Amino acid sequence: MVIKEYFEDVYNRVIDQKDNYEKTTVAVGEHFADIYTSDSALKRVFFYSIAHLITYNALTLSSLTIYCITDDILEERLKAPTLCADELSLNGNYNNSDSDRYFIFYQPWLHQIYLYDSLHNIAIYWVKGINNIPWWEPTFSFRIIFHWWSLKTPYQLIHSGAISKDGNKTFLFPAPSGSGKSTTTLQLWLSGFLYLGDDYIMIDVDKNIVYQLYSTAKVETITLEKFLPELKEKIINKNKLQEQKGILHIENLQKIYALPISGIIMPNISSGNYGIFECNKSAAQLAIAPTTLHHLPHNRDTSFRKITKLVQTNKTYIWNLPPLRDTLVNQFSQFQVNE
Amino acid sequence: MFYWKKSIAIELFDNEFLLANLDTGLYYTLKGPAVAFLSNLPFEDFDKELGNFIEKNDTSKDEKLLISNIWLELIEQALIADYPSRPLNTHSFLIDETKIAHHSNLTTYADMKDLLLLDPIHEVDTEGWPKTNETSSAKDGN
Repeated sequence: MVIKEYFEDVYNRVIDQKDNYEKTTVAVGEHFADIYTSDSALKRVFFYSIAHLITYNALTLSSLTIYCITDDILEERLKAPTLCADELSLNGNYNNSDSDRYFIFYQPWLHQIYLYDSLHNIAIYWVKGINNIPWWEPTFSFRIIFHWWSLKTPYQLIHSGAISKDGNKTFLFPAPSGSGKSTTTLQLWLSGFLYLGDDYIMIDVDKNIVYQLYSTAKVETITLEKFLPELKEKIINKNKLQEQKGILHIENLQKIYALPISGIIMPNISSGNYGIFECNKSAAQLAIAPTTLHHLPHNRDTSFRKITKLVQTNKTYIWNLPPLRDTLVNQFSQFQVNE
Repeated sequence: MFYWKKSIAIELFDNEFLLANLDTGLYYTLKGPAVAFLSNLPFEDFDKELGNFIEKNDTSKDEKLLISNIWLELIEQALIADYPSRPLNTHSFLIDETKIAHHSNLTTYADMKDLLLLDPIHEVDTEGWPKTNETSSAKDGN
């Protein structure tokens, strides 16, 4: 299939309804994105994690336009793209050899599609209906689009947490799922540290800066009970924990648009030798690249180079996590003082 | 002429190579004298190149065997390929040979491979949308 034709067909149908959309502008790093939503329910779902980024006085013209729509707004229901199975990977990456300009992210078992025109920085998120939105999608709204948009910039989405003490000492916590990333980030947040993210953050690899992006966190039920009991009541999807991770909204999030990065710490669930130790940079690359590139499949080589730059720029550490929160907080506080 | 395949991402961290096959999701770390030896790529004759390296660095027979085995593994994993002509772009690495590990070692990290290579295609309905696969929908969410 020629993705250009599919994009243009969908785009023309989306634009036909432009008068019916609500426009909202959000800050993404030092840029702005205009997001057009086709109904208020859809907006509520997708702005839950990025409401803190909404701005009413954008300083520059927006550099990204996103149309977020359901089938309800279109005159005719959208048909699925006919993609060549050989070129489509499980995580939605389609090797669109016909064009470097157009991108598609399509997981065939889901009724949603992301499309992007990289020349005009126009993106479309289409989902069949509100009930077809995968539970995880609004926890990192438009991450695929932010990834595509960032390819031509020094920005890179990173699968990582980020915490700061006072804005001067800011550390990233990258790790694959199940390595203690969210647990560590949330325990430190509950202990008074500044929260920049627990799942995806935006990095400027040229300036070595981290930008806050999402105000949601996802945690396993067992983690909540064992390490974060005070957050159990704040889980917003309590009735669905059998099939979903617990979703938290970080309340009273302090707006921290940009902080310089002080280092990269890999959380490691350990049975002893607790503490934070300097480690080889290849370990940091292995903690960031595979999991980030798996979730953000397009243009992996570009992202890999950006991640390399991030790792080469910063000191890297491994943190053998102690089981008690007090010890964890003390170790991190002491580490920050010494660094 | 042997050289690193174009599709392989390769970086030097603290005198170790980190290799990534971004298509398959396989990652590798390479340590020790093999790093210094392979930083000489591209070259045409492996045996001759290794012989010169061993002689120049006074490397042991055990180490020679380790490097040879790693070489075979890299060929097997299609990280290094033999092409008839010299590539236009080659990697260049600045290695501090005083700080490399004593023994060569290649480690494979396959955490993401299974997820990347699974077949995602299912039967489609009349509108072209694939029929829902209950097991697939639980695979994401990070």
